[in-house]
Amino acid sequence: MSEAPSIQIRRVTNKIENYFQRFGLRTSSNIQSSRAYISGVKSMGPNEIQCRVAETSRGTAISFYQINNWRLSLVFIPFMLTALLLTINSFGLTQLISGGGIFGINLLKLFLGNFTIGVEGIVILVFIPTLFAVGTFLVNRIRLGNLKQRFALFSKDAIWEPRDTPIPLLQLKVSQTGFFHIWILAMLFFFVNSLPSKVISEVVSVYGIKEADFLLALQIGFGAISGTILGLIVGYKAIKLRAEYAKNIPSYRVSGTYLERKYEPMFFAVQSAFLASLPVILFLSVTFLAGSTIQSILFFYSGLFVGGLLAGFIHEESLLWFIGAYIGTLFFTSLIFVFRTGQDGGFAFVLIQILFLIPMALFVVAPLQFNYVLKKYKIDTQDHLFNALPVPQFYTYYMMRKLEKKKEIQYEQILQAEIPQEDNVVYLDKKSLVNKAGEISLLIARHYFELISRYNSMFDEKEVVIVPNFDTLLQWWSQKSEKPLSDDNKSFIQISDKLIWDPDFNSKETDLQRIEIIGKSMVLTVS
Amino acid sequence: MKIKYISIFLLVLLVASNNLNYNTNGLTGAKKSFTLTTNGLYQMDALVDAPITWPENSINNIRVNITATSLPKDNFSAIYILSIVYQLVPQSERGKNTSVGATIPIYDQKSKFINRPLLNTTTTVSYVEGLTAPTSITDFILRIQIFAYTAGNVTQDVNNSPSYTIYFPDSGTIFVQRPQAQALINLYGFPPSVYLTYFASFAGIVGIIFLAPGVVGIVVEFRDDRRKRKLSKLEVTNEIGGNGQ
Repeated sequence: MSEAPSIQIRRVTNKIENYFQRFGLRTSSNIQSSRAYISGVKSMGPNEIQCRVAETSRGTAISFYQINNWRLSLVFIPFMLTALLLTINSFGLTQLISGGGIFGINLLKLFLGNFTIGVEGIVILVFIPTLFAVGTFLVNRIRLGNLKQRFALFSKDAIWEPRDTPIPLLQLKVSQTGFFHIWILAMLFFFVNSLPSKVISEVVSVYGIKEADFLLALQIGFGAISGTILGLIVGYKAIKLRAEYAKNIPSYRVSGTYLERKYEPMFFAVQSAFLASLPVILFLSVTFLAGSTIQSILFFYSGLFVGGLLAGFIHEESLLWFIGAYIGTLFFTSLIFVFRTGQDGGFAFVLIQILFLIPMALFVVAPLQFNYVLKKYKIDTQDHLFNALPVPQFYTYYMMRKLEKKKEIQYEQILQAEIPQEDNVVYLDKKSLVNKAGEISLLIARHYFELISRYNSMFDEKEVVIVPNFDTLLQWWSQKSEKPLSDDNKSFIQISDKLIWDPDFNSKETDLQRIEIIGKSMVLTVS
Repeated sequence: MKIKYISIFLLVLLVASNNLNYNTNGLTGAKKSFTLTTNGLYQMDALVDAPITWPENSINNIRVNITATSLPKDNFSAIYILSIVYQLVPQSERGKNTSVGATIPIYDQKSKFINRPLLNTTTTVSYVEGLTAPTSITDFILRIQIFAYTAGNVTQDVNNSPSYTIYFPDSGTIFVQRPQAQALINLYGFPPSVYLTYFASFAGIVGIIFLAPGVVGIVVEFRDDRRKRKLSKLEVTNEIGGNGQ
């Protein structure tokens, strides 16, 4: 068992936790005998910041770091897999690629459509994940810079202006979600292309057209639906993310007359959709839409405009509206092609294929149920909205679960340790406490003072600290733990207060064991 | 909550059992006797038992019972059943004795290699084979060819042994029963079912990946809910005990 940390380290750690929490960061701290690590997590994935506190001979040293940068490389995984497939293909190990595999599916065509190996194709495949990784890294850098800059002013009640996170960077972050969604949609939509030639000819024979015309019809259809859906998803998420940032950055707040507040988000969503379409259209132009006509590109961009407007229109409504909009766009886009089926039989298949994608609306919103888990650990952010594969979220969830147990163990260690004597500090008479209600009263007193010390860490060290009254302490606790106040919480404060200060306290009427458990859980929820 | 999950499970079972349809209601054909050698010493009876209506996409069991009826009374004489060939042929082929591999319309064919001796007249051996109904036609008959040779006839070529043919049923045809839902999906311009099978399986995999975090969320919420209910029960008991508050 390690030595208990000094009071100074704990005081500074509490203060930094408080500081991080003012920025909406979820904190976790690891206190050791002469140093402490405080991590602040804003969102899942690479955005993690750590503050290290250490006791040196010259005083307490505090430094900020960006940690877990390796997670930026997670974006590369899908691209690496496709690169692996390309390599296998170029070495002539074409068993899996050209249809002789397990299910006869051509994997390269499934992932990359009509991709042909060339310089620009490879460059674009490397460029897109790099863009995403750099974008996320920059957003994190700006957050870290803000924290560093303002820490010196933190305890002096100074007015500080935060550094803005540029809007294009936020839109780039959003574009990552849209990009992977459109990629999966493309795989589903062009799935017929990757099947064995026997199946393709059977499908084509139903519609009585050539295979090349069939592919062109598919590309026009996909141009339309990918545009609208990208606009919808990206626009919706961009508005939500900006609203979250607006808590810290006043210039992001939407203000003005009713009409301004109504129409501004629409245009913002369209603008974000157009900016976020850049990596998507680059990718599609070398893969699934390679060799398509100008028609599909026109459909894509007009779809972006419609989707963005729709996202701005529904962003204030419930999620059900989003699902409805998703299904509605698919349905009405399929209606466009109804009248073309007479001229070109391939559009009949396009129409059916679009209708098959309607259940995707449910899959898009499925990760939102995961929010319940994250909110349990006080992680409430829009960063992962609509993300298909939340690997970092799972990881964070796992880490937070471990942390909860670790905190409990640490607090028990602190309880067991003896408090070192300091000058000019009034101490409680332990003997009289034990006389009142036995050994357990000491523990209850520790919980009580721990709560008060955490409350006091909000203020400057040199300020005169007054013991807060019931209501202030309870209100602060409920605000910080994000839990409604129960009778248990109230009774803990009342009884422990009586126990410590009331000389005529009668211990026989109360269940002190239970009070002790409530107090411990109250301390652990705010630590 | 439990009832909801159980009912969903039962519904899934119902749908699954509907798809795995083993058709066993059958009809026994007339007994047929064959004499294997010219002197009439080696004789066997064959009996076919199979369903008369075959549902589409289901496995239909065909049972062939073979009994030796007459064998020379010594220790080494036997009838060797080499193999059985099952063929689904049109009704017009009844009675035409053509060898395997000839160019006649055959909808489906399945052969089973056995090579088993029948040493006495008391035992009956039966062979069961599952066949699926053809997709292109609605009625057909079953031709079963038993390839057998005897131990007594030394001049027989074992690799090219003679066959004995049975037709099932004795009169009329087997009908293919198509599900009613088939007509709904079999619209003009709908993608072929081969494509749909591929697409549904791929979309299922994508769906599982997408739904995984949602499922975790539901499970955690469900567990929390249960824990909360337990805690509230505990609190009630505490109040009854009286803790002086």
